[in-house]
Amino acid sequence: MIFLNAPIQQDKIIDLLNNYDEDGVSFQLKSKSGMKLVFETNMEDLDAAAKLAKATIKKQSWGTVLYFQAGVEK
Amino acid sequence: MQKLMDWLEKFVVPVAVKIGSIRWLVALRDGFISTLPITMAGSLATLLNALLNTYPAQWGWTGFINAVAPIVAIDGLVYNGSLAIFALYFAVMWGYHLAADYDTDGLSGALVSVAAFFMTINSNAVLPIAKALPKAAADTLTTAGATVTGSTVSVAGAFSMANMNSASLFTAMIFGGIAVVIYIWLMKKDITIKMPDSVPPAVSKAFTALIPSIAAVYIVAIINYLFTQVTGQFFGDWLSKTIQAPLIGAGQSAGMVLLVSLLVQIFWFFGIHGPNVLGPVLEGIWTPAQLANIQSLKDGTPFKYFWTRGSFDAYVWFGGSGGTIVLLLAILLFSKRADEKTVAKLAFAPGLFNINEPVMFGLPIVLNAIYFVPFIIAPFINTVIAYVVSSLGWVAPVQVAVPWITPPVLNAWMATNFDWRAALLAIVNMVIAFFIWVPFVRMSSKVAAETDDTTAA
Repeated sequence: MIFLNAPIQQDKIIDLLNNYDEDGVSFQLKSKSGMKLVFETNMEDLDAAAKLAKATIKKQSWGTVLYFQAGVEK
Repeated sequence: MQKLMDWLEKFVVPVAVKIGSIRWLVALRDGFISTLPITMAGSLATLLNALLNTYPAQWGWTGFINAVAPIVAIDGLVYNGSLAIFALYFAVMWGYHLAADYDTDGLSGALVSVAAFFMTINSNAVLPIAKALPKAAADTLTTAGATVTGSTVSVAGAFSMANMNSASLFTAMIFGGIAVVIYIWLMKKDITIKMPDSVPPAVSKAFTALIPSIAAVYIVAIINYLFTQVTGQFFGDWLSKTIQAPLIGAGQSAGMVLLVSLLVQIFWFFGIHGPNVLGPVLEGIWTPAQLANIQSLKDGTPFKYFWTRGSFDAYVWFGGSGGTIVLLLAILLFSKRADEKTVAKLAFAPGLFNINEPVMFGLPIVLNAIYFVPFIIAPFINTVIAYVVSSLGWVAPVQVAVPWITPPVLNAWMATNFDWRAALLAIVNMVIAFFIWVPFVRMSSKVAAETDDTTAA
């Protein structure tokens, strides 16, 4: 699982990642606590999954200005 | 806090998103950032020459100066190839990013931007002379193609490096922008030459860009021709004097410096990338000021600007935005919370190199009501102090670009060409910030002790 610490635009992030479907990769929200969002993913390399999630958000017009953290949930 | 967040999401975030998604502003910011290798190379050369030449000359180390003369000469070449023609590099990067951000060919955009830049700057190398030349000497120069007036000799068709340094940045920005916008518009209107599929992609791309590029270059040429005909001067010279100099001068005002410092902190706190949103202002106004200072350092002339892009890093954002390295120290010394101490220990090493993401989200500071006040106030007070001290000339202005990961204090010392007073100012600011943070660290421990079990034994 991966986590995102994102204080704002959480609904858009959840919607974006829950509907992500490229190269067979998917994300699914598992939990939400404060600014922490935890996603399950079918990617084996979780570091790569966290980077992909961050890059996907940063590509959005509303995501370019966001300051958030992405990492592997331990 | 939730109400505030809802309000922010409704009113502030859309504005920040709007600014952050204006493509030409993003291209402008990225254009500046892309020139970083060149800025660093030129800064390194200037710093090395200060160490090897300027100071030893003051100390009378003639033998040493002679021994390192080849290194100084090499540094001079590096400078000439980098910062001395900085506006040219910026024209390339600005044209590239602007065209690419609008989904057109970046390289063609870069070429158009550079062409526009060269058409706009003064193409006469003007040499001031102390006194009028004897008639025979003047005639000889005139025969060779120069124009001799009372106090100057000018050579047509010779671009001076003085017109390619940071003083011409706005020329590159405005005319590069105009040319590339015309190029993009024609590309989007599909006013292009279509080549058959059998033509290699590189050739096809060049032909596609042909009409838009020629049109853009001609329009800029016509504008410049008409301007020169009407006013008798080059557009670039006029822009430098009437637009760039006053705008950069406005960046020296307390209001602008403090406003930007405040906004960056507020943006960070609420999870918006402050320097990304304000990048065009930070880079567009204070980077040219810093480059002008490097030029002054190289030329040995008085500095023009006391507040530059690097001033924020040197005196305010030590350990990352918010000056968080001192918060980590305050936590390690005064916090009774085991969780905060664990984060502080983990975040301290990255914090020394101004990476504070672990503390921003680990502590966290973002959206942490207890830390809101010091996170905003400490950098603001640090900015006020650094601004006053810098404006009074008690420290050398920040002039040399140093990598942002340079540790606090060392950053201030190096950026000011090794002014120990700047290092002292950074330390004083850190101490002040430390005492601003301490009560809030204690408050955080107190609140935690009353509400949960995170207090250390």
